[in-house]
Amino acid sequence: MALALMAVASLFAGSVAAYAVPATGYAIAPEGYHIAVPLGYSVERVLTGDSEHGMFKNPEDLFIDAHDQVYVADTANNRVVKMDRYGKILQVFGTKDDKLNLMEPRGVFVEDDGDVYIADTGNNRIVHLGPDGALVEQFGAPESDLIDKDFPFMPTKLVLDRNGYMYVTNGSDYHGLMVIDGHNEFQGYIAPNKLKFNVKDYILRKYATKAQREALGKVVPPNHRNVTIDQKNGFLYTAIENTRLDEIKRFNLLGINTYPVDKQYGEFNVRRGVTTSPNVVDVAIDKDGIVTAVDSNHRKIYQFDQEGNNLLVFGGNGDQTGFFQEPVSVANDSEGLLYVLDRARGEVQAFRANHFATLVHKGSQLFSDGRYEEALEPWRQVVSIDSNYILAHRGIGKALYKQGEWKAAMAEFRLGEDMGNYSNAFREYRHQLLRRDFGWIALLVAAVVVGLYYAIVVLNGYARKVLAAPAGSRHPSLQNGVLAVFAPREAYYRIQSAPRYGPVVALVLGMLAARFIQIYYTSFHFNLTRPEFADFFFEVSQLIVPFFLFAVSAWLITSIMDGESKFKQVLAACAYAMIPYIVGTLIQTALSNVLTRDELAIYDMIGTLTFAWVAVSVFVLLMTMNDYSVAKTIWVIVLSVLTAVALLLVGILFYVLVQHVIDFFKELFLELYIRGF
Amino acid sequence: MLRRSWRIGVWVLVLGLCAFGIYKMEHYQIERNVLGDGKAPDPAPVAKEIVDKLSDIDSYREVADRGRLTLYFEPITSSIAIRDRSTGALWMSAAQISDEALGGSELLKNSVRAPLNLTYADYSRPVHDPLITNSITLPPKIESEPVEGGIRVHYDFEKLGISFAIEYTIGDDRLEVYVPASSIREKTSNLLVSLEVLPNLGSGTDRDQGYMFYPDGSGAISYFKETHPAYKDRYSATVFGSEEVLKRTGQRTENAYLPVFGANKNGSGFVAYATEGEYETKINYSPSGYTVNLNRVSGEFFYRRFYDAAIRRGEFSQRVERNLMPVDHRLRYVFLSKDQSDYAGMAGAYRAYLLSSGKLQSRIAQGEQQIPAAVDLFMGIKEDSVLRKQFLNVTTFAQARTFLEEMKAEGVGAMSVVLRGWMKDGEGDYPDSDEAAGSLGGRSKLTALTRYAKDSGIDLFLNFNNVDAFGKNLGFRKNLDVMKSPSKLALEDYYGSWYLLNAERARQKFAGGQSKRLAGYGAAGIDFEEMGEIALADANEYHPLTREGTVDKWLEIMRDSREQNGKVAVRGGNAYVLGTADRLSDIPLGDTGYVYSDEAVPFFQMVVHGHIPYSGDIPMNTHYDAKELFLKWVEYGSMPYYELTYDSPEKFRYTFYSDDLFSSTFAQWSPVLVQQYKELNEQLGHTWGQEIAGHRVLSRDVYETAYADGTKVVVNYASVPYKGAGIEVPPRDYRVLR
Repeated sequence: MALALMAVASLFAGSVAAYAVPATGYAIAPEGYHIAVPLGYSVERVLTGDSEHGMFKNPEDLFIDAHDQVYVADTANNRVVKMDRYGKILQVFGTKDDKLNLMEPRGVFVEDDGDVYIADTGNNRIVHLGPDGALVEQFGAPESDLIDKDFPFMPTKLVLDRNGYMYVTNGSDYHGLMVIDGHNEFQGYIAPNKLKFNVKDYILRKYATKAQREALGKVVPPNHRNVTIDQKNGFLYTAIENTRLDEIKRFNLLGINTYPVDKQYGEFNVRRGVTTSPNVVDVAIDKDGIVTAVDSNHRKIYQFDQEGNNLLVFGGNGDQTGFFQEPVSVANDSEGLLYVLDRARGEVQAFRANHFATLVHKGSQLFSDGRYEEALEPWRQVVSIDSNYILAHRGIGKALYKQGEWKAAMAEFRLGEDMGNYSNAFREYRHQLLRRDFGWIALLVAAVVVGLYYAIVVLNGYARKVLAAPAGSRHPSLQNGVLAVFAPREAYYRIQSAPRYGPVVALVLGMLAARFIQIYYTSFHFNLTRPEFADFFFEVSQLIVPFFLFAVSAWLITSIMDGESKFKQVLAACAYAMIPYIVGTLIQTALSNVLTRDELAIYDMIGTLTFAWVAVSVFVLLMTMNDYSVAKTIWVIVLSVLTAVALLLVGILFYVLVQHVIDFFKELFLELYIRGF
Repeated sequence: MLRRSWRIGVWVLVLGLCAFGIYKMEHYQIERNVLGDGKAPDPAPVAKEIVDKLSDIDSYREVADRGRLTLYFEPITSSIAIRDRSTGALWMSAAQISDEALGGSELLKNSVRAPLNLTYADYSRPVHDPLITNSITLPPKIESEPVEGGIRVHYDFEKLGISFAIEYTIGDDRLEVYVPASSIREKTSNLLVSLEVLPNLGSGTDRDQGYMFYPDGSGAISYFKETHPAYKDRYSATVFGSEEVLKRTGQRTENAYLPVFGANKNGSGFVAYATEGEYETKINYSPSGYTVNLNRVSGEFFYRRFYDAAIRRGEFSQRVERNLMPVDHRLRYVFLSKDQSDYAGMAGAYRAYLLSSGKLQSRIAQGEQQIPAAVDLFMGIKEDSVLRKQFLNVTTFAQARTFLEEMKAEGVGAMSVVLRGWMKDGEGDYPDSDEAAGSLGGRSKLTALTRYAKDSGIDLFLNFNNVDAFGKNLGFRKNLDVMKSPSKLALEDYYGSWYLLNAERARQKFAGGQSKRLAGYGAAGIDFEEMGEIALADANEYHPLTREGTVDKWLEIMRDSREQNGKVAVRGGNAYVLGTADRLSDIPLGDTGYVYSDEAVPFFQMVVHGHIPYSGDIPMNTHYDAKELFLKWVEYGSMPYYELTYDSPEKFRYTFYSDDLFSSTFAQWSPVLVQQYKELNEQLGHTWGQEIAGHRVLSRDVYETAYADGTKVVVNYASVPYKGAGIEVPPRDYRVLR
């Protein structure tokens, strides 16, 4: 579903919308597709340095202290610049006069009392300055046996916690963050990233020669590119570059990741043939716990709530204000402005949250705190601005659920694409209905049960009657249908003796009809294939292709394995064997409107029973029609399935070849056309 | 025997031919340029002493005098200078800046003093790269002859084999630069691509006071300033928008709607606009910090374009067109008086030209007192579903009518309404059908709606797109009816699903019945999608059209429609529609926002206000900051603009239109519309029929717009109150001074 929507979105994102340029950003829905939203942030001002002190050159880090002073590690100019939040330069560290001799400083951290720590990367040291810029102390490479000698001390980013421990990212060291105390003693690594098991890699390495293995290069875990500290809650946030999963982590001081795992916090997209993989390089946390991440490949800013839900995305590649060329660092000030440092442009853009983003933040913060009913108001406003904002619908749904408005909550969860909570609300609603109208409902259920029972009895009676009568009288197709359910062996005898194509067509169509009824009428909380996202050709072929393939291969196999049936007979019998599928699917669809996801087992069981019944039917039909023993029937079925797979492969190969030939002629025509005209 | 020797002879001949063929192929050499492979020595650049003296007027001779203006000419480099007696300014084609202030290489130092930059390409090479030079680094042979009011200069770049003539003439307040296409000669495989004439006229250093104006979106200015970073890009915009319509990547850019640019330097200024050949013109602005520390603005004349020729599937090579486009180019610099030297003065001068030449037609009555509300009504769209495409009724014709009646009753007197997605296949199935959607009420309900609109004085337009064409639409032939690139391949997007219709085919289809059927609905007019936003050259085999040719066909469609309906509306405001359209939509209320731009200015609005009604490109209901947009309307004199529906946008959530519209119901937005309409009309209704006379920046985020009758509007976007001479504007608010 998500995939289908994304395909639709990408088809149109560049087309119709490209002319009129709506000032919109987007949010990423939990299922992965994009939701257009009003632009979340707009640029308030731009901080560039000035002509007196010189402009920035490839700056790599940005820090905003408790007094809203902005520090920029102006890397290629070998200095750190301190500005007020309007961009007026207050102080420069690393000038000719102060003899600090900074070399390519890549990180800066400032304590609440104004002490400045600079990751003086080029000099392999950390410099600690007083608020006036005077050198207090410097930290060189700490010494310990635990330190991997392959990674010499190259501090790039650092933070300090309230106890004076420094957490340092060290070049591309993948062991985690280095913890260094105030005496320059190494306290160990925390928060290492782990390598995920990868089947392809495993096989490659298992069977590669030594030379090949070396050529492949060593696979190492991704390293922390950046680290940020949330002093209030004592969390360390890290940004992990060049990975496709868990790009953001939140560590408590024991080094345990408390942010939702196995989630993508960056985007991986292929658009117009260009692949862009995520590269999250920095994170910032505001006072409400909203996480802002910056991706230097997509050149976008992503915001997440405490549960790792994407709230909004803005920015992008461009030489315009509000866009980025190489964003590398992000920070919040106390007023709530977001500062983004662009390395290539050498400037800091300060963004102010627009009305919509402010509401989203408010709603998500209250929601995260579990104050669903207080969050109702901001979420309602969000929806009035953007009726497609999924998180807001979920928030409203939660609040309504708390208030006992089951029906309304269901509608909101439906709009919020939240199956689980929809099911919960539905359960309560069902309960409410039961309590209110128990008598009527009990009566209705009883009527249905009795009706079903009576129908079965009647049909069974009819089957007995048919069995007694000679084959071929009155309506043989219909009779065979009933017999296929109640007396399958007799049914397949009769089908074999007088196979007809009419019922095959009718039953295959019936099978398709049942599938489409399932797609259209399964209740939202069970429906994995919704009509808006389903693909007609896929749905049809996933039923038709296996059916005919099996019929053909079963016929092929039986005819070489002493079978007694012709193709027409096998096909007709196979069609009758699909009756359980039609019946089961319809029952499942009907039940989905009464069950909740707590009773998923019942729903799934019906599906399983259906397929078991189909399998049994197929077994019976092969056995009866060919006079096989049980073992032989099983063997024939296995062979038929394998043959079907082989046929499918051949078919695909043939299709690909034909496609190539068609392409060749197309191209030839084009060439002649271009040259000849 | 005889037969045997015959056989041997034939064999020898065949083998010999094969050997010869292989030898030839092995030693194949691409035919090289007769002069261009480095054998002939480059002519030496113009001597440094001469270049240095270009900022000294004494090395020039006077060639024409028109009272206010005097034209000077320097014979060695063909540099020109104009003295304006009324302002005392001396405008020179060579930048007046010292080498150390400028920075950059020798080539760049020469180029900022050259009167002419030239781009050419060598056709004999396998890949045609643009090669750029200037008339000081590669001095041509220069001959000149006097003409009425000026001088005609013949340039002969002997090394390149390219020669042409340029006429510089002056009038009372203007300098005209004319490049007749008939004078261009090419002797070798070097082909002329473009000429940038007077690239440094009016150039400003970091220490000068003033700014450059360029037509990015509504218009943008960039101040001369010392604090600026090094820029990697400059502004270089094809007039009327880039031709890369279907290959656009993510970055949004606004069109250069008008072929105009200007400079304001130390209190005096000029505005320059193309009067001929604007379809093949680019406007360039190089900010200080882009290669050198000098602000330059200029027009560049194009004679050929580059295109990607297919070598094989998925592989392309850059080629230049073989044939020269015989387009005469004429660029007019109008020197402004001291009090009119700002961008408002530039707009005034340009507007005067447009009005006098008939390129801008006034469609608003002088005494008009009401600003109409611009409302797009989104009617219907098809949603993909597994079994069938479902037509979603978002707003039926009857619901639209009820809405209009309600608005009338609430006191919204004047409205300009556009129906979108009213046709059989809904929005987004281009080219559009001319049949009304049955499920929205069909023809009868639609005519009832238009009749009601006509009777109540509401302008109601039917949106219609016959420019775009989507692959899945069966209404056109994909190999015959579409626009093609010079490589003869259809112009299409990456996925091969989006095309553009050949304008002549579209015109034929329109004239052959569509026009009548559309007129039959009785609407005030048709609102043509795209036609004012893009302009493309088309190498279609049967109806090849230049950019101008394509636009002419579209204008023909519009005029035809206008005759039938009475009015015509168009999306986009490219200058060529200003003489035809009665209503403009999608006019940006701002610029693209390039990093080097300091302010967006309502230049386009100053030209058009009081003549043609226009609305912005973002409706109130989807804008991220309602207050800011409202203030923009006030500042830019725009119609208030909404795009509304009867049903909730959740209905079409799973269609592509959810990217454009996500909050739009009548119920939610009608009260807002009524309130804003009333407020705007109470405050500014009387200005609707007037021209905008002035606009200036009062302070950071505070702007003043002045109308012809003296009404002034001060808009404050800042979060702090503004206190000025006799006026106080609260934060994020505006005040009107009558």
